[in-house]
Amino acid sequence: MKRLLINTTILIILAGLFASCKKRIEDDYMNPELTTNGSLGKLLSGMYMNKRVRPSYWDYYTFIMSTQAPFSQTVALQPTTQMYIPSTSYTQDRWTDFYAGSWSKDDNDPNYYGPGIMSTYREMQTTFKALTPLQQQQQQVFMRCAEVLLYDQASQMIDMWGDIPFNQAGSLNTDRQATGAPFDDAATLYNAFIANLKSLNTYFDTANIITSASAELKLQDMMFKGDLLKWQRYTNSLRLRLLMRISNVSEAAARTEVTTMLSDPATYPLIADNSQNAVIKMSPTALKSDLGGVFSDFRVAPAYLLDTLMLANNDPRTPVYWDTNQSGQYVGFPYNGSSSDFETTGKYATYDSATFNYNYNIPGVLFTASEASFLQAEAYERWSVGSPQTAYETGIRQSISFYYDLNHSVVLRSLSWDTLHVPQEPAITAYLQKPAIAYSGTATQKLAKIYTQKWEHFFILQAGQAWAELRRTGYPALKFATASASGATTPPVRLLYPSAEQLYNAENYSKVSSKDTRNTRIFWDIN
Amino acid sequence: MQRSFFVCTVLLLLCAFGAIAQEKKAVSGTVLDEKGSPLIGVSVQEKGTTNGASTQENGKFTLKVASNATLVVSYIGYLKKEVPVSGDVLNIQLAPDTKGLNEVVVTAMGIKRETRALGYAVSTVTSKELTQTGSPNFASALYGKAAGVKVIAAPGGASSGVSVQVRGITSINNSTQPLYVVDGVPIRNFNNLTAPSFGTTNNRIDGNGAVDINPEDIESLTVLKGASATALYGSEATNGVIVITTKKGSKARGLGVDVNYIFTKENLAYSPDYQNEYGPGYDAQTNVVNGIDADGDGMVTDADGSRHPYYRSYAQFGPKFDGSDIKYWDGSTRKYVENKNNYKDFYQNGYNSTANVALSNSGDNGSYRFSYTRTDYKSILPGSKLYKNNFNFNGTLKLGSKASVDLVSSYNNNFTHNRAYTLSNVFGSFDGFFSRLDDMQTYFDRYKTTNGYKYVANDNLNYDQDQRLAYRIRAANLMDYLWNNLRNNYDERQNRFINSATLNVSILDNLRFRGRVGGDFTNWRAVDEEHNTQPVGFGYTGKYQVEQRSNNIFYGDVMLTYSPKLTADLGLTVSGGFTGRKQNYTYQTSYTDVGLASENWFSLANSAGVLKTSAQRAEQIDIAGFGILNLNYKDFLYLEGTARQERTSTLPAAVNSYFYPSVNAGFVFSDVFKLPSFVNYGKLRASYGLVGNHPSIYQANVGYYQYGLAYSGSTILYQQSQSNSFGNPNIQSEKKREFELGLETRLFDGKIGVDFSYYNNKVSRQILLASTAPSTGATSNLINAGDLANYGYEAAINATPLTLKDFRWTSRFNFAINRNKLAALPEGLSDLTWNVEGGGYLIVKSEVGDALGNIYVHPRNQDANGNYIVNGDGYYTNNLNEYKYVGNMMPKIVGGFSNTFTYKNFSLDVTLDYRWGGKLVSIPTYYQIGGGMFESTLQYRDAAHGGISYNVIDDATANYVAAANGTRHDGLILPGVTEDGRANTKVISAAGYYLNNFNWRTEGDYSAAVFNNNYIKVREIALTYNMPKSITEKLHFQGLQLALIGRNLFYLYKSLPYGLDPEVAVGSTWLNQGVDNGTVGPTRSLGASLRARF
Repeated sequence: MKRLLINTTILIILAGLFASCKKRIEDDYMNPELTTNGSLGKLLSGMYMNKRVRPSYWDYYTFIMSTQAPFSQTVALQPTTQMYIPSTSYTQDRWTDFYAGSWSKDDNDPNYYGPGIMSTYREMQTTFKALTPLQQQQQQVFMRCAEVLLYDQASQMIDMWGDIPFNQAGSLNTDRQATGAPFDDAATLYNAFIANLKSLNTYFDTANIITSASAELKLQDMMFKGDLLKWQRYTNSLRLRLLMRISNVSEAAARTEVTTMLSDPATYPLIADNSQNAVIKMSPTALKSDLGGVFSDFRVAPAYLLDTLMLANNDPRTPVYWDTNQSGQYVGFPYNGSSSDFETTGKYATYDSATFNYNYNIPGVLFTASEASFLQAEAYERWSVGSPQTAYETGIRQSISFYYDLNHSVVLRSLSWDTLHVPQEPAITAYLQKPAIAYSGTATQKLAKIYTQKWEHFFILQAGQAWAELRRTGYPALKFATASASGATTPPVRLLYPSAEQLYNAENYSKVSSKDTRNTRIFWDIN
Repeated sequence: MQRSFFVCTVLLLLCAFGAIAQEKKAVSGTVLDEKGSPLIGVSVQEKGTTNGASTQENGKFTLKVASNATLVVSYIGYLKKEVPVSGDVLNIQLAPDTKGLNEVVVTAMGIKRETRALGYAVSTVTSKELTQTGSPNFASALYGKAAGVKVIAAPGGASSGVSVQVRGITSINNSTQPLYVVDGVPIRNFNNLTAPSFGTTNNRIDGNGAVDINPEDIESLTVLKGASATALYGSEATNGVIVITTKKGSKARGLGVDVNYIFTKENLAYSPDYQNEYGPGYDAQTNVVNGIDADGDGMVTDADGSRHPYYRSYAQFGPKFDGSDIKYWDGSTRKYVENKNNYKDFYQNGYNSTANVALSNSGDNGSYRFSYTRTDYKSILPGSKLYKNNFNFNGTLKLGSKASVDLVSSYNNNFTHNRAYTLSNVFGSFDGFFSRLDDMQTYFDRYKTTNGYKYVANDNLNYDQDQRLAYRIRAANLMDYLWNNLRNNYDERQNRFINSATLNVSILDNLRFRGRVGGDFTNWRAVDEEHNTQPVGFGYTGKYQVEQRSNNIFYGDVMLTYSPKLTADLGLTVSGGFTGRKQNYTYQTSYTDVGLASENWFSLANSAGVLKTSAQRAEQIDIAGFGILNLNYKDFLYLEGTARQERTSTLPAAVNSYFYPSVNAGFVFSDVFKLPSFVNYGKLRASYGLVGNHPSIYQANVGYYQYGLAYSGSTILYQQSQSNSFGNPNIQSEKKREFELGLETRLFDGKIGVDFSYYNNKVSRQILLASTAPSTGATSNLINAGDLANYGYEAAINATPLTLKDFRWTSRFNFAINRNKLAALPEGLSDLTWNVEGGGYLIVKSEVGDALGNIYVHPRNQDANGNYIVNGDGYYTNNLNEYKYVGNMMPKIVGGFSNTFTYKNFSLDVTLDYRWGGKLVSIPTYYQIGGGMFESTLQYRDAAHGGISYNVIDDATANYVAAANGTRHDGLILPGVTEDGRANTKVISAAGYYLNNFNWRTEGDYSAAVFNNNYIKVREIALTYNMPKSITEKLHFQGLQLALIGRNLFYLYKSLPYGLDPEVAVGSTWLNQGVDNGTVGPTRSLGASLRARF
């Protein structure tokens, strides 16, 4: 009997243990390193940490310098059979970084990983939806800033692929289920962005932000520190870019909207000065541009840019863009040069060591004053609403000062170089008077000069814009070597949809698959 | 459900106390063998109790038993005998067991059962089979030895993981590895609790927990295969369970010392079938268009008049080797000739040395065995080596007559230097392709400079300019490989303790209690020392990293077993208990960022940038209650039912509890029916069970990662959503149900034994990290994705074909056939697709009804009549909108064939294993075909190899015209039609053909990357000589054995071409096992062993 008692007791204790484990087991379900509390401010900062928004080694190495820059000749390309066939893995990475981002459990090295744009925006929407109406009103500003960034990045996606999933993209981030999103029409999306940016301008103009939200925004908004006037300028400038991008295909609509904007700068302020630029600066301790490896492999200057455009006209930007070759000369690699010449070490000029190769402080460039000036110059020239020459020359001056500022703010990885002297006014004036630079000639020639200068300004820092505008305008009139791969003898005019989208969003992909060729032009590309 | 389970258990245990104590009487006796000699150490037990004794030196025993008791007398190698207690003194004679009927196996929860009583299939592997040929770990010694168990040892030798797959694939995406239970404690198999698979980490081939178990310490190994056999392990059991029992002190032997030494030399076994006639270079068109060489002959002439082939080329279509003087890329002048053995020269000679000492003893109060094993291993890969120290203690202490404690403790200490590094960057990347011209010694000489910096590439103008390479070379990845593995150090140190203590108490004669606590604790540290690649003046390089990982498992179980005596014919055993397990995992790392500020000073204090750290932690708890009911009718009909109710922390609270029942029956029909006299034994088995597989820890979570960032004088926190492996708050556990039928027979006095099983299972709610379109917000998402069904047959046949006076031949053959198919998919999912070669050029896809592992590639464009369409340049093109099926990865049949020939004191063991059916995808091989590496790519290169003659109109546009006596003879015309339907007449060059037809994506024909993977391999041979007793006794040995051994010897047959090895694949998932991504050359081991007993 005693034994029975003991055994029963043991059994009851065990049963008790079994039950008490239940709570512990439920607590152990959630990863302690993960939070379920989304924060609009922290998610907004995440958008700046997207590795295509800020400069990352991976983006520059696998995409900018191997796809966008060579296709717009801001870097020299070694002739190979398949030089015009972009790696589909790398283009898929580019696509994925917009929608989902990338992440590693071991080491979230910003050179390789970072949040997505669409996914972050959708998570912000999900978080926003869970707030009370009062909280929503107070925190709306985070959503609005994110919206501008979203349109900027999404339009860049359209410039590369055409139709993209947009309106229904990011289903995992909203209802936690993977549902294939349709590919939305590129032109319709562009129009929607243009319309929404107009109301965003009004919002930033009139927004009244409570102190707590503005303090948080000031911290989390790495680009403008919560300065809503700067956001307004960026919003309008972006809208101007998109309008000019569609101005060849929908000229009347673009002309009306652009004219309205440019004739009322008080309502539609633009980025008018380099201090208003939409750039994400680096903070060399933790967030730095780490592109040395890029510029040691993609180093060679292209001849048209360096020899024909810069050197021949004594461009003041030459020393800030380039280092001379081993013999102390600025020589670029000709578009039709040979592979062995390309490989001859020290034969060609390379990217400037201080400004690019060894610089930890290359910013992520979203929009600069110079681009806004060139866009205005084009509008003025085509639609006679203002002085194109002033805008054009302002654009060049802003570009020169932008690049010298870059050189003056370098944080060097190692070694040291003397800081370059800012070009004196006579040198700039002389440059502006060179026949190839001066604002003269027929309307076509003038436009060509605007486009060419803008292309030079975009350079490799905005290689995506350089490639898009090259396709839209046809300038500068570049020549490309012929590759021997059959079907890919010239650069493509768009990128192919990534296989992950073809395979796993098959139903929606089938509706755009006929357009999925390297020769299908983006809707604005009617050049 | 849970409550009723409790009630049942309680009632059941209460029943146990109804047993009635009985009166005792003393019996004694002697146990003799068939010749009348006394047997020592024979177990004599009172039937149905734990009450028992062992025979002493003279074969005598004494025991107190119930008056009407029956004694069960058993001894290894002899037939078990049941003797009713008739008088006080018994003389018992045992007959030798030539049929092996009384084998006892350890089953789930450490319960010992007679094979005869089992209603499900098990395979057992003996200690001898595991250690005979000095396999570095027990898992790779399992090749071909257990029916239905497929073993894949990753290349790279002793440190590389071994994947074991029982009965096909039961999980598409979750763990496919069995649960390993050592002396009752489930041990850790994966390094990372959050990732239930292994493959490679930073290009190094992972190990797994099972390889730490020292084969020399294993007494027996049982593989539990079906769901009924493993149901007591519930959620861990879908992939089978491997139950390992370590060696104990033996009472028969008293004090004993064993000394074993094994040494094997390990060498590269096979090289690829490379061609040896042409050096590096591209086709003439590429040479001309890209300005490599104006005349297109592939030989570049420098300004100083020296000649050289184009070293940047990954392809081998350069000039034919002619012995002329050329300038080599290191600047020296050499003859332009092939280096036939340069692949082989890359590898070094490895070895494996294992020394083992074991001490054991046994007495009245218990027994113990202590063993120490030292293993030294040098890989065939340059720079890789390891050593291991294994200590094992296994002791039993008797606490009076009713209770005993078993203590098992093993300590494992490993050091691994530069764990095997995959060669995917060398053979799977064009930047690793070296040519037949290359002299491997030059790579070994030049990967670092005399000042200890990394090699100076031709375009590197920074340092050690006197050592700058004369030309740009292609195989930079090969140089990097040598730098990483010869200059840099990645050193891992592991300490692992596996302990268990088991208390056995006989509460009453028919009521037993067992309680067990155990633990498996691993502490692992690694340091990574990467040297500065250049002087710091040119920028910081190098890295120092420390990593620390700990894996702790705490395990406990309690069990009460009640075996009342019901009637003379009916036996009953009822058990019930609880089991719980807690697993902890932590990982921490700190490393220098940017580089090392002072050259080659490996310290975290020497980081040029802000030091980086990261940490992970995880905790998982699983608890369960279980019950077992066994019925035995007249020792010919056995019934068993088991149940387990389980709760796990890896699932959301609402769905974290599961019930896993099973039933099985064994029917020894040979005891009931009159059968032909040649049938000695026959048994039918049937079983049915449910088991599960839950998601791995934290996999289902949905949340944000948060990071801090020092920025502009403040700290910014930012959040990131799950961009891959997106969680799922509604996930449920996988559920496997399995039905199994089996037949065991022994015929012709045990000369032939057959064990046959048929099984049919279905795993529903497959947990899958399904690839998703990135536009959904993540690249993969955890889902319950449909059902997977398997069925199969497996059989083990053993035979003794020949027995002569001094000669005996025994043979064991097994095979396993498994078929699987995707039985269902959830709505909205039409198929499961894996994008094996990026860009969708080679995919693995299954729709409902398909087997897993169907391989598809883009088909060639064809016209309506099935003719291949040739484009304007003369090449075939792909239809990128379609896919064609090119085969399935799954083997159709796998198994082994072992033979033992003994003649007097000699014995020869030969073990073969085979695999038939199924494909291997080898992307590196495909690239190497395109690069003209293999002998087969000589075709068309000259007239002798079938090339046609043509004249060159223009190389730049590849405009060639066929001409009987043309200037070149490496032409071909692809059969097919042009786009407008005319017969193709366009001449292309052989080099152009290989480069385009086997190109990276574009118009490449990826069906050329898919190969039949059939093989029969002579896995192990051991020629053993047992020194005769007359000699050993003089030398004061109890036994002395010498053996010549060989492992992974050669293939009797293999279907893979190009010298590709059937076992190149790395990784534990089924998909990884079907895909070669460029690993390590296969090895062959030859050596000798010495086993001595004192």
